[in-house]
Amino acid sequence: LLVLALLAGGARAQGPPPAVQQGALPVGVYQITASAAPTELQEGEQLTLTLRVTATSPKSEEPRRPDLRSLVAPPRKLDDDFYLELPADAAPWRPEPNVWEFKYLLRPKRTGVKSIPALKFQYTAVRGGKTQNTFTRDTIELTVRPRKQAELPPPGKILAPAGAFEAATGDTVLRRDGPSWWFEPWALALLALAPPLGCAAWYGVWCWRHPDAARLRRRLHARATRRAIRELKRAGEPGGAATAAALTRYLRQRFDLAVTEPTPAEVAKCLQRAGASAAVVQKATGLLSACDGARFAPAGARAGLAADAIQFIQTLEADLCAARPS
Amino acid sequence: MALLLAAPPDDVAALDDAALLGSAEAAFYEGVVAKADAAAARRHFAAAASRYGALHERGVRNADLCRNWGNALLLSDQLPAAILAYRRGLRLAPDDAALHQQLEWARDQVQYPADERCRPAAVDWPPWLPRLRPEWVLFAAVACYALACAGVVRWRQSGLFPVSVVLALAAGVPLAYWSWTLHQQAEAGQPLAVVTRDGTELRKGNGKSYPPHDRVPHLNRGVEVRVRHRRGDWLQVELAGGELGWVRREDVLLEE
Repeated sequence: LLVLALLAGGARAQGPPPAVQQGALPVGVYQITASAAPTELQEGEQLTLTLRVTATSPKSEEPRRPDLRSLVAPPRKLDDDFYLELPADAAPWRPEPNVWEFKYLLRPKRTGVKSIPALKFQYTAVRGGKTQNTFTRDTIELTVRPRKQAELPPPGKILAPAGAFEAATGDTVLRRDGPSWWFEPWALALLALAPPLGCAAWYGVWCWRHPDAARLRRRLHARATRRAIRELKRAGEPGGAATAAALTRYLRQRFDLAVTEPTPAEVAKCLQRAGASAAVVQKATGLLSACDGARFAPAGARAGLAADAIQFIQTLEADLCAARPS
Repeated sequence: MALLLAAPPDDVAALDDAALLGSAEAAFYEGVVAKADAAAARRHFAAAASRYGALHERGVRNADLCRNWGNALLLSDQLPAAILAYRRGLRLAPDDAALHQQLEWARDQVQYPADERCRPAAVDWPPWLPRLRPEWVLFAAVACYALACAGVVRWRQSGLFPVSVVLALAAGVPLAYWSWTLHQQAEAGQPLAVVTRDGTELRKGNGKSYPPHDRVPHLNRGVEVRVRHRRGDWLQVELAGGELGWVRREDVLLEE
């Protein structure tokens, strides 16, 4: 198809010839072909119509996508036979610098659709200025098959697997399996509370049935206290390493501290948990800080650290004894 | 038994659960006996299906009932309803091999599009391996939690900090979270629907003026979909392949 100065597709055959106007394609000489794939399809399936526009030379101006509906010559209308959609990427494909391929998605509306009609273009010759029509070479034949239907069983025969002829019987068929109640809020709360409550009861029973064990525990605590005081009395005044070691060992044994060298903050937390008063806790942290200072800067160590530690232990034990219920 | 079979559907309401079940079983048995005469057998199976369905409406929920119901529906040529019944049963008993088998057979009868993208994937779970149910994971989490609590008590008794406490807590927290997630997934499933008519149009919007779906313009009888939204007489559905579209409410059998 060789045309000059193509205009936008003009479905204006019934009206007066249009004046020369800017069309979809810039002025030039073009070869236009249309192709479709697939041409055999099932009702409801989609085909792609490709409109290939080849210019005699590369164009600086880009052609615009022609309006496919207006390219169908009356009396046929594209919408009578097809659903028209544009692909997600509407830009033309450029296989070569002077070639533009425009794609359109068409879906036949029924099995009676036999072809895509030849497309009509209007152009104006350079000389004369009269608008003329030209068409793509041929219509594109289509074969639209009916949709596949589910196969119905033959009327005289029941089509089913052997297992379908079996039915469960008995009371089990009347069960009422509801949704799991384990995830109800009350059940989750019960599951969350039961283990700690059970363990607390176990511990209480254990203390009740094994008073010796509880007494032994208290004795161990007293022994740890006495040992710490003894060690602190033996500790020399200069340097705080022995004082710090004795104090931390006492705290570990007395309060089951897991860490080897607890920081003042860890000790404070532990004492608070054990029920010590705020003053004692503050004294403990101050004492530990002083011990650290004496260990790492012996020159600036204050005197009487061991005596302070002994006094602290006695105060702490008295404090905890007062806090403990009789 | 003959009296029960002869009972019209209106009298079904007068029967208690056991009598209704007996009636359904009798109708099913009659259908099996009359297998050579397809039309008569289908009538019996349809009667059995309606009675199993009545039991389901009364709140009877178990996999056996759903399997019987599905079988009766399948044998009375009600393929979409049979698929829905099997799916209901599998929701209650995900491990039921017979239900899986029957469902796959029913799906084989559905005409899916050429690439079969609308067909739900078959279950590859080994039949001998029990499925992990949220309840079991929850029990495991509670066991870990209880072990941790017991470890704390032992710690108070012996003064030794047991490593098992840390391990139990470390295992219990993710297990609890996992069980909760599994439970949420099981509960949050969108309603299931099965297409009842061949050539049901899947449209891009909730109206006939919207164009058909690009890849799956039509759905055939028996295709399973998940309902995402409802708008008037239209349902937005999601196919097994992930495609979204709208179908008319009257064209699907909906799991309410």
